[in-house]
Amino acid sequence: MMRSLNLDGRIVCLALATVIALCMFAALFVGPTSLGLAATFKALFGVGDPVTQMIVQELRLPRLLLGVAVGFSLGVSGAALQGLLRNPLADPGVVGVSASAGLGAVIAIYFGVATGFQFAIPLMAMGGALMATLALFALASRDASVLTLILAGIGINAMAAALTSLAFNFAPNPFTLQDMVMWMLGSLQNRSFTDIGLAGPFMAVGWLLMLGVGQGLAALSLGEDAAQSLGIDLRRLRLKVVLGTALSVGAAVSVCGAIGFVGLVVPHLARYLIGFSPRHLLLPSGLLGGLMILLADLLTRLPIWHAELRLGVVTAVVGAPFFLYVVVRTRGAMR
Amino acid sequence: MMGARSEIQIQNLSVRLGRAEILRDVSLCLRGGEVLGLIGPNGAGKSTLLRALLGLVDCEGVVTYDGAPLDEIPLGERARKVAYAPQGAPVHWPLTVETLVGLGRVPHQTPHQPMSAEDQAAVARVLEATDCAHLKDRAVLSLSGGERANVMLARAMAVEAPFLFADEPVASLDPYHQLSVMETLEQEAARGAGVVVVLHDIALALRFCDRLCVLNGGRVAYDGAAKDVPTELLESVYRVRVKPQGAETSSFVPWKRL
Repeated sequence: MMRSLNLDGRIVCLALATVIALCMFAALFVGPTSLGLAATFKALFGVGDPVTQMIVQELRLPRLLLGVAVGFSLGVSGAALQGLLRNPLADPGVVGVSASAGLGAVIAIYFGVATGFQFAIPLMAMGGALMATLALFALASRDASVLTLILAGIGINAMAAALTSLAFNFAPNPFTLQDMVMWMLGSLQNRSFTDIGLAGPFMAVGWLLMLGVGQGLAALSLGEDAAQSLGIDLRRLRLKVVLGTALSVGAAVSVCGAIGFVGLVVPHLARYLIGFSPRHLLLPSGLLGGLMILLADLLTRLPIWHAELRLGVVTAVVGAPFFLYVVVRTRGAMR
Repeated sequence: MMGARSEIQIQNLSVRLGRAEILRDVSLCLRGGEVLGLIGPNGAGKSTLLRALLGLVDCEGVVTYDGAPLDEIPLGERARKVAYAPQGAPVHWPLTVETLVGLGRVPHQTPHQPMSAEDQAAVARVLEATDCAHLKDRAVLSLSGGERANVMLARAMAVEAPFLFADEPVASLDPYHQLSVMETLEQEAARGAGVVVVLHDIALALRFCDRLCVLNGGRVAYDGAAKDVPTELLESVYRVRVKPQGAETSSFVPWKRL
């Protein structure tokens, strides 16, 4: 039987928010250029050397903010999907949103539109996420049982993977191929406030849709019939979770590539801290996701790697073994 | 604790699932203060009838709750009128008993409202009434079948609705726990609730139910006092012969808990 510390959710959220703020502040001082404590601090408030100001305000700060927002999106979506599918192995990747967003971006790179129009990748990625969501609804909204939703997700994932492979296969030149592969690996490098401006609002709408479904997800742990008998409108609940996931994860993938396993791992950490009821897991999962991306990104920037370490690789290296661990732990404990 | 007793009127209820007609022209009245046993062979439409009344399957016909058409009552309000303990009663996360029973209070809460003092009191009350108070910190998945059945019933009772639907609450329970569940349902009816219970154990149904509704092939074969149900009818509906009373071999009929 899995254990939980059963801490108070509000205190955990407050503590996490504090840790994130401290980590962000500390991370401002980390980078390839050593800026010094006082200079960095001054630059943050628009005082001092203009180059230092540029590095802090336009390179380091947006990267940190975007990292937390992306992590929050992945964490909340993971918790919401695990609650909706009642499956501890669910993740935004499961319903095919991440892969489809990735496909959108790969198509943009493949046809070279990305070089002429800088928003091509984000827009195409969000388009891909939206297509995946619509396909998911077309396939799974009628009877909308959990099994149908998961099978539809598998199908959409397979489609996205197949078309992405096709793009790799016919890559016009090695540079395009490398572009596509590197993008698929996921990174927060060279992101600006422009990226935040484009993806941020979509992520925020997604969060708002998902943060209110805790009660419905809790009732759903008794099964669909019992949840409905408790007054939960299942159609609306599903719509909120799937649309919220599409918006926030689609937007997140669009600005920093495919970053896997965050949505899988953090709800389990949240359960360990707070308890198993899906009711109070959404906000802490989002905060834990933000913290996880923040730390993983910090790891990629440490000056110890001989080649550039991509963010998506770090989360996958941590996440994939955890996925197997969850499989082993939950086998038998849950049907 | 309840004022005027509520009533659910069902007129000519029919349910089709694809081509198959599951229920046909079912007319029935459910009243507060009585235990109605819904019996009949497998596939007779017992569970479907409950699910149709809860709005979980599409149906034709008229169902009114105290005169108001049930499908015009908003979902949240309906949830406060009818509590439902589904068959099999799945639990998908290792929740504690107290958390699980607390879910019965969802119809009384807004999405972001935590458990109120009233909710806590209701949970404590039903845990006491079902003899589950000592289990409140246990994980539901670690309970025995009998304990779990009582906890699931407590969850439905926590809604404190005028009607309580229980779909096979005593399936696969030992005699002791069968009686414990049936006695709890009996107490709920005594409190004024209208209890509808799907049963396969005829002896239990005859003993605990005030009224029986026998469904067969989607139609009502009998609706009346439990004590008056003709044995021949049960024999023909269930396609079995009942052992004559007073036969030499002893039959084991659970009658009382020790």
